[in-house]
Amino acid sequence: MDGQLLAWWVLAIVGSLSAVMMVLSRNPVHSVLYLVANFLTLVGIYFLLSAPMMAVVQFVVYAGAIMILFLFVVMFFMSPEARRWLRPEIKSQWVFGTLLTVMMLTVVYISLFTSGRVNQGELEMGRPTIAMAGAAENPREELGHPAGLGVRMFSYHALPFEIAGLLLLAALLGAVLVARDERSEGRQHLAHEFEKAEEAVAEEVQA
Amino acid sequence: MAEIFTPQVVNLIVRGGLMIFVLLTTFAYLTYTERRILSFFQWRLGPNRVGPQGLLQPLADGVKTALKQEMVPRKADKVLYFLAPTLTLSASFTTFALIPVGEQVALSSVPVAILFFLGLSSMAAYGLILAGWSSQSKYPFLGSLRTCAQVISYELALGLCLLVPIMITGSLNINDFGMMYRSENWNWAYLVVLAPAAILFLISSLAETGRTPFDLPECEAEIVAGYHTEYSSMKYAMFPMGEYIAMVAMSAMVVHMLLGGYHMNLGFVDLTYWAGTWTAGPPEAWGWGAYGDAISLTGKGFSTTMTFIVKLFLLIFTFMWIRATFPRLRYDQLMRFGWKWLLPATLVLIFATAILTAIIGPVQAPAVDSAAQAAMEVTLNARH
Repeated sequence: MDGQLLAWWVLAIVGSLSAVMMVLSRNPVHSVLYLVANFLTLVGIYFLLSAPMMAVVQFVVYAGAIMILFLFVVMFFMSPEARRWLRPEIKSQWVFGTLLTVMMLTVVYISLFTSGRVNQGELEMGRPTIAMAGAAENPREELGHPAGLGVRMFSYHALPFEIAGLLLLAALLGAVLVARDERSEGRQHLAHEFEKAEEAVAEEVQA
Repeated sequence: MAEIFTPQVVNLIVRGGLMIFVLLTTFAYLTYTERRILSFFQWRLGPNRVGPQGLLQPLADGVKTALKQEMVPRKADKVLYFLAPTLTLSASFTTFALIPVGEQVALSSVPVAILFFLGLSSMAAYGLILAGWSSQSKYPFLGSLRTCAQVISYELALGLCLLVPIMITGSLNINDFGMMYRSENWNWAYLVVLAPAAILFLISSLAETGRTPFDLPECEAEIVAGYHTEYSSMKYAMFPMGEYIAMVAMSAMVVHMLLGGYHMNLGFVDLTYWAGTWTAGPPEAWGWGAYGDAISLTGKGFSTTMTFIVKLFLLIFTFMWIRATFPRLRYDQLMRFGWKWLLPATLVLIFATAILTAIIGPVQAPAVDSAAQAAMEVTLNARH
């Protein structure tokens, strides 16, 4: 058993366990942290697949930035005193959950094996080899390399990339619109009017 | 298991251990230095009783902290309460696995080190946030909410500032930043964007590490001690430890960005390898073989490391100087400054860098560095 394989087994076991615990945990803050742990194991697995760019994006964007936002929001709605543990709201929720999981895993496995990227024999040996399809001679053209990713993003995938950007912008504007507090804006307007009126009165008094 | 502990791995473990030891000592003496420097700024003497000039003060502080009574709040979320300081500290230590301190004196050469650096700084923030939440008490909770918002706001500017040297060198490897400062690559026009980028980076790193003008997470006038109110003894000490080491890491990044990294290029003369031939590794006769690499600072390594350390301490002094000079911001000022001033400024800077690199052209660094890296690996393998 070489170091890489050992690392893969550790990552795989910890990752699966944390994923399960994320779903089972009743405390939302714990759920967030299990998800972070899961993302961190994914980072390791990407590194083992020699895709450093994917690994680091997973680390910075998901495990770092997005999960901190998650934690922030969860903490905002759950004060430390009022321990409002989450309870399943739909009866026999877990049945549907399991069903959905099985369905999704089936789709993933079928697509993986039909795409020919997984070597069946090696998988049975427990060796995590997913051949990186299209690994070019030049590392700069590889998708795992930042430069390669950038070139792909702004040439082959320029249109989808821009569309995704536009969609995010729309979502952002929507969020601003939802979060806008019209009442307080009205109050500010009123305060401004009062100030103007007061100034006018002061001027009149002086005159 | 023998295959796992190959000489390379043992070498790395020894180097890592050495790095941690150096960092811990640095932390201990930084607390002393900061106290002394702050007192000189404030026209007093500071700790000068324990040992000559108070030099044994960190030791006394350490013993005192370790022997203090440990208190754990009854309602605390025990696991997270213990996890939080560990997380902060280990994330801060791990940053140093990415930062080269001299030519070929580094624990790793990750091609995407800068992104990793950013990720680790948010991992450290998890510790602060969880510390406040797991204490299950009001003030720490408020402190952790503040930390959360502050880190989210300033991380953006922090990352965007790093984009400037990345655009110039065309590489995400911190080692390649040094290539920018070699005489043959250097162009004074880079300073136009690098200097403001480094200054903005410094400002946002103050906020990211929660140091003085931005130390609202532990604002004692409003929320007692913020996220670490309920912590005592060594578990408390781990927070300032993490903070100081994060400060050293941020200073190291500024050195790599603006001050020429471990190179000493004065524009007309390159003194980088001034003492390059002074030292060699441990003598072959000691029979350490490949393990000797772990502690040796051979050849160029020595002079470049010394250059780096001098620059590093200049910057750490700047951090302390800022602490002595500026009062703490109000929370709304902090947010307004971060979003309405710092972030737009960095965006303008990135635009300027794009124009500059289009005119001058980026540095062709990576090829040089990967050659050096390959050479190092060859020598390592040859010795085994």
